[in-house]
Amino acid sequence: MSDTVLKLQNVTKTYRGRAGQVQAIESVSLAVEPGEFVSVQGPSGCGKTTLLLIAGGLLRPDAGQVALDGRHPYDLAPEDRARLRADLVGFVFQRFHLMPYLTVLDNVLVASLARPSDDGVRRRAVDLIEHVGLGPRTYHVPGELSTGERQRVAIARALLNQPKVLLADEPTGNLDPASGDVVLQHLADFAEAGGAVLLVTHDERAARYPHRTVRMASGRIRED
Amino acid sequence: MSIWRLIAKEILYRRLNFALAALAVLVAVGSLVAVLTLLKGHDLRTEGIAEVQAKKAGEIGHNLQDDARRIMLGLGYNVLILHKEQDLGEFYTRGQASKTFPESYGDVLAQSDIILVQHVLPSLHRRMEWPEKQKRVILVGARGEAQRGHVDPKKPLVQPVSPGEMVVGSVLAAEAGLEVGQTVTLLGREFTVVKVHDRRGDEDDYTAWVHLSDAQAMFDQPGEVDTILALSCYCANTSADKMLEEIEKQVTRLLPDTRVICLEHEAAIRRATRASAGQRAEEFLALDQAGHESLRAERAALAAWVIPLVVVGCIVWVGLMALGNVRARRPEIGILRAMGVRGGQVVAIFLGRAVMVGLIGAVIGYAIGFAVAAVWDAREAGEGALTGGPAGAAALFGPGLLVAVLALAPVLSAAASLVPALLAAQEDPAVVLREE
Repeated sequence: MSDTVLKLQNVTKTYRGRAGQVQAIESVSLAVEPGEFVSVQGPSGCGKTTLLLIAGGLLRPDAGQVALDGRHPYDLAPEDRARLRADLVGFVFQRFHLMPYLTVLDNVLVASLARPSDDGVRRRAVDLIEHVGLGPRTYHVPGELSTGERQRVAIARALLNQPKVLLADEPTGNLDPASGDVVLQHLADFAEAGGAVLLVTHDERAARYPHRTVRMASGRIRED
Repeated sequence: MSIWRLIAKEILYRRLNFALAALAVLVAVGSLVAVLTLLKGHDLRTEGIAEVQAKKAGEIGHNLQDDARRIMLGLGYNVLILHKEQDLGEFYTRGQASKTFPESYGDVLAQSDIILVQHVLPSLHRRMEWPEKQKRVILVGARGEAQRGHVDPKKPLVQPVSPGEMVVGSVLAAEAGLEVGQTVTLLGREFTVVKVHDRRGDEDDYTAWVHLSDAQAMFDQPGEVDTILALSCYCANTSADKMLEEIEKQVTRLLPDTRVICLEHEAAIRRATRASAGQRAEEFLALDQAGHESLRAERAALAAWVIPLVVVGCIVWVGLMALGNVRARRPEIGILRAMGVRGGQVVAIFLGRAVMVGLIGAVIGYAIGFAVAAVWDAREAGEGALTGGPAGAAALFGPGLLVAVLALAPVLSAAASLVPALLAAQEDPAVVLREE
């Protein structure tokens, strides 16, 4: 059995709309090992986000295989696929997607809705908030935080269910360089701790954190 | 983190949306509770009014009967005085008395201080053959009223027929060819017809009236009469119940060889008058009750279409507010689904919120609807639109309605929000997150 925690093999996705078809990605293959930090870089519209959504079990590809920790999410029923995501995957998005009416602690704890029987989740949430340096902000709401702090809340939320894979879509897109570095460092720390990180970004500054950088253009991997 | 905590926090954050949705439930529940409570108040007040009216009607009927009794008492009793030995069977079957007694008894009775009689009419009767006319007739010899010398004279009830004159009934006059001014012969005595009565529909139509002295002479019974009709007689210092008995006792004490008959039709009038008084009271009560029932029916009919209209309108309103909430929370739904929150949980989040909308709207709506109804009920009672006091909050309160409202409003609110909640659960997180 392979150690590969995330594996995409010849994955293809085409969007079909009234304006016609758009080939988002074509025959993309990618593997991420535990403890590995992989960055996918490329210009806007090259298919990075589509790749990440497919990898996270959110977007069914037209062709190809996806495996998360050896399981094929698109062979599962929607509810089982949701459980698989809750067990294995953490997401970080450019726009944070925090709930404006919840405190930092509750925004982190909201991930526990996906795994309601998880014991010790509150203790872990507090530790994660401390870990990302937001201890003093535990009971603040997102409107009272800087953008960098909000992204760190999103990282803590993504890590709450102890995922094996962290999928980050332009996590530094809205951040100043210093805040971006902090966020990338947290991703690197996760990988250092044995997790797998797949970062998609067009930010060239992110190049110094990943172990490996994959370059995409027009839906295809050009360089690995 | 529980779903309920998430719901509570979201409600506090999006207060306006929640308040508008709860307002819809409030309006529906408030209207329903107000109308049902008002109808209940109406029923309670109507019951109260019915009791009061029944009591009043009873009192009125009783008073009317008393009044009738007193009025009739004031009029006194009409009695017929016969000879003590007169066989009543013979009297009733033959229509005349065979025993006679002195004419002066009438004067004795009229002069009495114990028996107060308004009118005393001594007379002599015969059902006989009028040989000159070959007709059977009723002949009455009367002299007019006995004079009551000790009191102010009353206007005579009947005009006496003078000696040598005759008054006849209409049928007799027609069949015997009698006319006013005509001289006729009866048992060999001449009489002048002075009056022909209009038709009365009874035996008077076949009766001839002459002066008592003429009748006594014709029948060879000078100074004798067979009956004294005593009208409006009563005894002083005697209760109503004992009146007739006392009259009989006093008459027979004054006139030892007589007996007294209370005229039955007079007694029937007394009974009929009292019964009529009671019947009028019952009719009044029935009319009043019908008025209340009609008013209630009008209100119930109005409620029957207004309430469903309001409830349906409010359900649509709640549904639209829920749809707006779902649209506003698409990114939230997207991230929840991405994290692995299942569709059923998303539905639960929105339905739980709808339950809270229904519950809070129902509690406030019940309170407001009940308060409005109680105030309205009190005002309506105060204005006298319906007589009777206000039912009062304690009487108007119905635990059944409260429980029903608190149970049904959340269910209906959740039902109204079901489609939006299902749409939320079916949101494709990939689409939402990519759009974001």
